[in-house]
Amino acid sequence: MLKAVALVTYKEWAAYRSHMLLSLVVGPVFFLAQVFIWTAVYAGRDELGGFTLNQMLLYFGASSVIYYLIMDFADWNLQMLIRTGKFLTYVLRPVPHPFFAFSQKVGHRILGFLFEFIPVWLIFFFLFDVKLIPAKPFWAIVSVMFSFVIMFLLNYSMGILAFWLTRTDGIRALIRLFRDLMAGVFIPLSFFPDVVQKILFFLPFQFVSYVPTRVFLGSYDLAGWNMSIPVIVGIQGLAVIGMLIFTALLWRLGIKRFTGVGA
Amino acid sequence: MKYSTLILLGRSLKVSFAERAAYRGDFLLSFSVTFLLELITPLVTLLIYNSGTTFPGWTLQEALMIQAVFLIARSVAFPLFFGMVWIVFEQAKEGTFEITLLKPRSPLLLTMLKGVDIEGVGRILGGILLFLFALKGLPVPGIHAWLLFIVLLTLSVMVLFGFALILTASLFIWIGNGRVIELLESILVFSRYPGSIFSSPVQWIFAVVVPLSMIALYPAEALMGRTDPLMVYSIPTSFAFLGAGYLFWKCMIRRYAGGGG
Repeated sequence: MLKAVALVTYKEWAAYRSHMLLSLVVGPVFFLAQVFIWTAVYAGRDELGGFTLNQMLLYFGASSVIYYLIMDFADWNLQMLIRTGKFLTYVLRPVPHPFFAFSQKVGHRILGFLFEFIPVWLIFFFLFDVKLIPAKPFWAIVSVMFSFVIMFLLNYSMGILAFWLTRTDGIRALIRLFRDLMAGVFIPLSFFPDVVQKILFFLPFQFVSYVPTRVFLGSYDLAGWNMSIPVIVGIQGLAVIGMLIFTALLWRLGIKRFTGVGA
Repeated sequence: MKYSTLILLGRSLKVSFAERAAYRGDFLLSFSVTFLLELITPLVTLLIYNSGTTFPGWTLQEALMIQAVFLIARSVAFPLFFGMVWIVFEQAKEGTFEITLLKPRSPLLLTMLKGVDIEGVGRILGGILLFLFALKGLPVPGIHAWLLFIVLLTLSVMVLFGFALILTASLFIWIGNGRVIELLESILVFSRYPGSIFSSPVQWIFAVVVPLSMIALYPAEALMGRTDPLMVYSIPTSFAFLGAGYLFWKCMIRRYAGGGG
């Protein structure tokens, strides 16, 4: 089932591969801006927020390419189905929608791997001389797989809110903003004040981007807590289980509220 | 601007508000989020300065002033001009842009008015708050500085309008590519930071080729009494950029061939 849906999604989106290839410009341009910004602020300094300049560029490089592996728009898709009533057709199918949506993500991201991850990785490698080679490949792969699932569960949970709110543009934008901020997308979490770092450690958002990026680089610390890579990946695994339970509960509550007319 | 155009603009704002008011809670939340979203770059700047470093030659207040000016220019340009990107995105994909072409007014004006987005006005609140915060830590600007600031801010909105025209026009050919906005956002990152972080050739490009520095850096510098020799070259470039955007729009709209329907 997963394979069939993933394959169909892959073929469907392959028709729009030129749109995906826009990432070849967007990703490197964003990264170029980071190069300018961080090169300037590191002038005369060896370390900031626990990172050297080289590590900082690796952080943003790794964070960018990992995003191509884990991103999805499950939230937008689910709220659109609920709002328009099209979700009715999925209720009648013998497959739970969360699994269907997850399978779609698998297909979509396989395409992303081929048309976004690999080309951008090569651009970083040859153009920016940023060698994005994971320090511990096995743990990096496991961590990225976990963040793939957590990102989906977070986004899908956002989509579920449409069962209550119908239109969720505002709340989704708000959660996405906090998700990215607290996942270390804009700046590494070690730049935040200590007390904020301690709070962030107990939230699931760091597992979306900060943890896989740090695992990719080969070391992890937040709020003064240093952990070995297997330990933090293990905690990330527990976060996956926690998010699975949370999403399943939210789904059960939400689906009871669905009323579809037409479609 | 003609009186009838102003009436149309007023009605577009009214319709946009009425449309969004159907889901009032979501509208208010979206309005607030738009404001919060724009404060991310200043927050990153604040965290950088708090870590004990600076953008060379720029105090925190000066750096924040650039970002405040960026927000103000964006909060004017985006609600007015960038909604048309999504209008053409939808209409070109569905093949319904022909309806706009059949109407007895300029397709550009109609598309722009249809795209007016009241939600994006939330940004101006963030811009003004940040502007006042940054201004508090800077010497009081004189009347000349204010006048120059207003002129350059107008040019900044013009440059953004140029970008809106280029992006929208590209969708007549690149049907259904909603990611063009991402492309713009990645380019606009360069206009939110002090010029000193870029190498000299890059500063020259942002002044004379693609006037990104006119969006926030030069208006902010004018207000702070800083002088930049490249600023002068950037003024004709801004006009040329808008002109190029308009020509591109004219050229692309002729190539529109109704992809859907």
